[in-house]
Amino acid sequence: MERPVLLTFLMASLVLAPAPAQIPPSYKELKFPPLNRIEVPEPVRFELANGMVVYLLEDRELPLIEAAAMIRTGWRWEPQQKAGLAAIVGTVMRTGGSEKFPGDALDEELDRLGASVETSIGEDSGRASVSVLKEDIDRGLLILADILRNPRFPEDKIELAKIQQRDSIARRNDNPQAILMREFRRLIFGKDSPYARQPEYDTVNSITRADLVAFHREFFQPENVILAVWGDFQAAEMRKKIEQIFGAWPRGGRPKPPVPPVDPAAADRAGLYQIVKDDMPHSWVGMGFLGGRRDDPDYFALEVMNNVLGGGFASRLFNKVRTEQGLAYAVGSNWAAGWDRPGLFVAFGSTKTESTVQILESIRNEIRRLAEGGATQEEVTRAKDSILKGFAFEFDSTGKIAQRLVSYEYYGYPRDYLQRFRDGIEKVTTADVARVAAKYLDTRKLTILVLGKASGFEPPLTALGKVTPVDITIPPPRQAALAEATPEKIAQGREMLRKVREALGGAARLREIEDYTLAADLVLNTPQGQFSMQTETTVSMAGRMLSRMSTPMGEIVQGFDGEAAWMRTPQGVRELPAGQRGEVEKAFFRETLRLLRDPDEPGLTVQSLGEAELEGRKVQALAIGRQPGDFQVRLFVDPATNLLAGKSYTATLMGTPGEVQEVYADWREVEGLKWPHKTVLYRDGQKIGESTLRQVKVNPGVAAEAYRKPK
Amino acid sequence: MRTALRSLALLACAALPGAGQEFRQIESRVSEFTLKNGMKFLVLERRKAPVASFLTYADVGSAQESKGITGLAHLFEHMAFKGTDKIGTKDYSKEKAALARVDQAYAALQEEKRKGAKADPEKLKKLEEAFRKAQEEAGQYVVANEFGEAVERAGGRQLNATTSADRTMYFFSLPSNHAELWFWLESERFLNPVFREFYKERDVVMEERRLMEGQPVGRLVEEFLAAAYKAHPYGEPVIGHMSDLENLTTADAAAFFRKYYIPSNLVAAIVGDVDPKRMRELAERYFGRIPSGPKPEPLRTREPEQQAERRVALWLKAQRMVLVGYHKPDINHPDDAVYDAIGSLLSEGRSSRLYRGLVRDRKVATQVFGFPGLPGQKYPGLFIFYALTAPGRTNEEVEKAIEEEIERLIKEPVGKEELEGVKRRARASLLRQLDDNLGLAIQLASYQALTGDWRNLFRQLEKINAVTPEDVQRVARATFRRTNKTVGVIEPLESR
Repeated sequence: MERPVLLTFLMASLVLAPAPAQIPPSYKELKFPPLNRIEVPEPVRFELANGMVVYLLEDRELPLIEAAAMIRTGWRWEPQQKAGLAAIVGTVMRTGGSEKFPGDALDEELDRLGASVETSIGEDSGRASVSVLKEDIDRGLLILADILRNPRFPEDKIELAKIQQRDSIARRNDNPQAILMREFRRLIFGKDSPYARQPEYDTVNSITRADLVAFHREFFQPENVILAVWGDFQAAEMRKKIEQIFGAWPRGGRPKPPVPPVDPAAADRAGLYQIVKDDMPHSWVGMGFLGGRRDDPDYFALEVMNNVLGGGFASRLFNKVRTEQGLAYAVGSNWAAGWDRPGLFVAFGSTKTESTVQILESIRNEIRRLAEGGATQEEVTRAKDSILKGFAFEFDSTGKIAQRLVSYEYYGYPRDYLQRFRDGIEKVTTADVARVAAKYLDTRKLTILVLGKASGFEPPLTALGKVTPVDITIPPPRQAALAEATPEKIAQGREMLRKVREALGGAARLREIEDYTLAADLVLNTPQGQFSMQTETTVSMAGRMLSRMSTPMGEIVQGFDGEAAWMRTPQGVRELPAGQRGEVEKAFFRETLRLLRDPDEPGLTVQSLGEAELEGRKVQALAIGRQPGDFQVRLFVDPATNLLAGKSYTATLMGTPGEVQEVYADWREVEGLKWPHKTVLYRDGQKIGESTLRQVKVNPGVAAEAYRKPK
Repeated sequence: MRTALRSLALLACAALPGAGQEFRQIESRVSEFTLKNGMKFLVLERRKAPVASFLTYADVGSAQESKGITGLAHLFEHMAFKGTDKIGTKDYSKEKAALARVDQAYAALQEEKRKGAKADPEKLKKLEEAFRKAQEEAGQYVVANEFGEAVERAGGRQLNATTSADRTMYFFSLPSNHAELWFWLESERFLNPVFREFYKERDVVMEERRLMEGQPVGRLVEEFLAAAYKAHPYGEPVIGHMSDLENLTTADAAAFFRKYYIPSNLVAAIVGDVDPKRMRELAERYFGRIPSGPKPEPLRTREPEQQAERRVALWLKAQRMVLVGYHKPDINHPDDAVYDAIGSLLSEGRSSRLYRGLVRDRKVATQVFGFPGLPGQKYPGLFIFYALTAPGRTNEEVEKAIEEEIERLIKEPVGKEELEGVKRRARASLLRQLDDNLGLAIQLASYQALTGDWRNLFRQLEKINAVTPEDVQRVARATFRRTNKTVGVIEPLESR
């Protein structure tokens, strides 16, 4: 057995004699020598003629050079209908590269050098960085300058960045803590706020290369760039290099973009909100409100206050909720002050489902206790010591020092802000903490958000007051808009629909249908092989649906009583949020018999799309929507028989949204109507399953109650 | 033959001007000593700022657990923040008696609970109340989180600990003039830990387990490792099974402590603005007090060679994800550096084979990595492929694309330039790690404990430099075999 420690033991070179023991009985009696002086390297700051600002810091410890720039841009300035644009620009500047340094060649070269050049755009700033062995710095800076100035934005890399964005959208409800923090932010700032909106399939899909080019032109000019370089170089020499490489970049002359305001209503969003996510073994609770800025005179006292409440291993929340009550592993609070806009205050914790309300009360109670009673002298001293005595850590890396200077200048803070921060904290008194706690920590103003199962809390959430549900369903992409419908195309479409109706069994028979039940075997293709289940769907023409599905997780039943949609799983019954309810309504709308029963239904829009191809066959296509401008489903008609050859629509299938296509075969007559007994399912052109009809029941007379949510 | 080739390559590498210079310089600043009781110390003086990082590496992890006590190594790590007879108590002699009563009350409650359906509900209620009261009584002697508070009051940072299958690490950083505080606190920690608030902390760990269960990837890894290992404890979750957590006792923790927290099982590393001579004096004074103990018996179980491909699929309300793993040898195997080189070829940078193949060109994944070392390195672990399947693509397509990249590794020798990139990146990345006190402390202590010599942190670079295209093909062929493969996937359950 390879036990390296044994080896160590044998190799022990020196066995030491014990020293006389002088161990004080308590660590509190330890005497410490004075701290060695903090040596702060002196930065060189200069501005190029084109307005770019540069900081240089020499650090000769290792043969490395790093550079990092902040650029005045950010997603808070992107148009709402193009959400995702700034992030895509930040990605494609690097992955696409420039004419001189195309992305793929860059990837290769940098990886061979053991170097990196990266660009990205966040909420309120862009970042561009270089990290190289010192001999490669010229190359690194040349690349950085050129991709900042002349990005190529090739289509293939834009598409790649869009795939990444769509993937992030699809995955955004997979991580509970991330959901809590995101939705909390959206509740406070408002979901359309430049500080809280998020990319959606539609906004990402709408982004074009021209959008990237325009966004880049608007923000990437030298006067918007503050660059820091640190590492193993000589400052005078580095200055020359930078002047040479970045000096030729002409000024853009566009004014500094104004900071988008925060909606004043954000200061007043008190309420109790709930997100239901049934598959969680626990709950997350977050509560807080709109906070402040770093240049607020109360900021220092608020930092100390938060440290007492929920910052670190000795805070009240940690001591009470975790250590004493054993309710949570993760619990804490954060006074996240903004640089140039108000930040957020949030206290949070996670606990088992049963104790959800208990942890909520417990956190809220600690907030209230601090607001009403302030903090003890002891606590304030501890909090201040923890911030102040660790001050030396602000200087333990040259990169930290350099990037701090860049941030201060970027947000318009004085260069000695760190010193001011230190002094500010130093001056905070117990009375200050009591004052800001009383002023800011108003429990009546809390926005409280609970994420977890729908029920199982003891006591239930409703015991605390009115609960507002928050729907986190991811909106599926809208379908591509259709060409303008001409009167001819509309007439052709309606005519075709009538022919299909005749082929299926005729208008008269269709009008006799009240409801029907279809039982089928569904086989899905998965990497684990074929996977079968049984389905049974009942549709009532009065606008109700009920479907049962046997899955490996047990039976899943989904119902829609015309108003509410619900789902029953082995874990329980719950009502579906609005987004998912909308999907169920659409599913009802596109039911074949429902569509064909009355092609002249008011508001229904029908238009011919002409000839199309389906599985290699020529078919006639038509589009149907519920109202003008709304396009819901595409039908494909076999011109030889006038029977439906297939249908396509967007939907979320097996968790992934996409263009779903059903292709029909094996038509047989049952009770005077023709039914396709075989349906092949495709999503985005890939076959994902097949369904075989086992049984058709026409007018089974299922009672309206059967569609309602079970108790 | 192969060995001859390697030493030739090593020679060639050593002859390169400047190569390794900066590392030798760092190496020469590391001092090491071993206390009489067997505890090893590594000290690296770095004078950048008046701060230092302190770390204790305990050569014990979840691999030292057996059925019934899974999660104990990690729970013990939590208990190591609860203090000692001198930290965290108002009156230890009274508290000690109160803690004994808590254990008795717990034992009585457990005994009744074990009767299952036959348990007397009235009695249970009484026993639960007695247990609650006993805890409350013991609680009045507690100074909550004094250990953490002492560190924070001194301006400490990065206070934390982590447990893996291989080891448990405890660390924090201090302004360097407060070095003695670490010696005081840390030596007390392993001299006489007191398991106060044990049952509450067990609840906290159960919450930590729930957080893991709430993450699709957490659930996937647990199922995947359980499939990949059938005998070795690497197949068990570090966090422990819920039923084990529900039943762990202070007696379990005490026995575990006595067996594994002996000085010869500990390596301490100190990196920062400290005087090595002084560190040695303090180490002797403080840690010299810990009595030595017998080295625990090495783990008996070896994972038998895998005979069949293994697959697990999780159906979750989450997006697709793929894990593929192949058994590989431990860190002390002569081919260890070859695995590192393969990981680098596959995953480092946008020109890496997996990014190009799966993300950029085939567009079947949005993220993909291949690397050695899960769940550990001390015993034979796995070479892992991890991918996030792109929207609208299948896990099957991802797995097939990974197979194709593996085929390429086996069939085509790696180009000279591509391999040069691996070597240069290894050097650059080691250099970048040298600017971080805590990171260095972790690396030095880990190499010391896992390989018997901290210098292997730097030797590894030389070994990577010696890797040949033939090595890559040979090791890939030997490792990436169908019957050595475990696959774990997440398939999305229809949300509507």
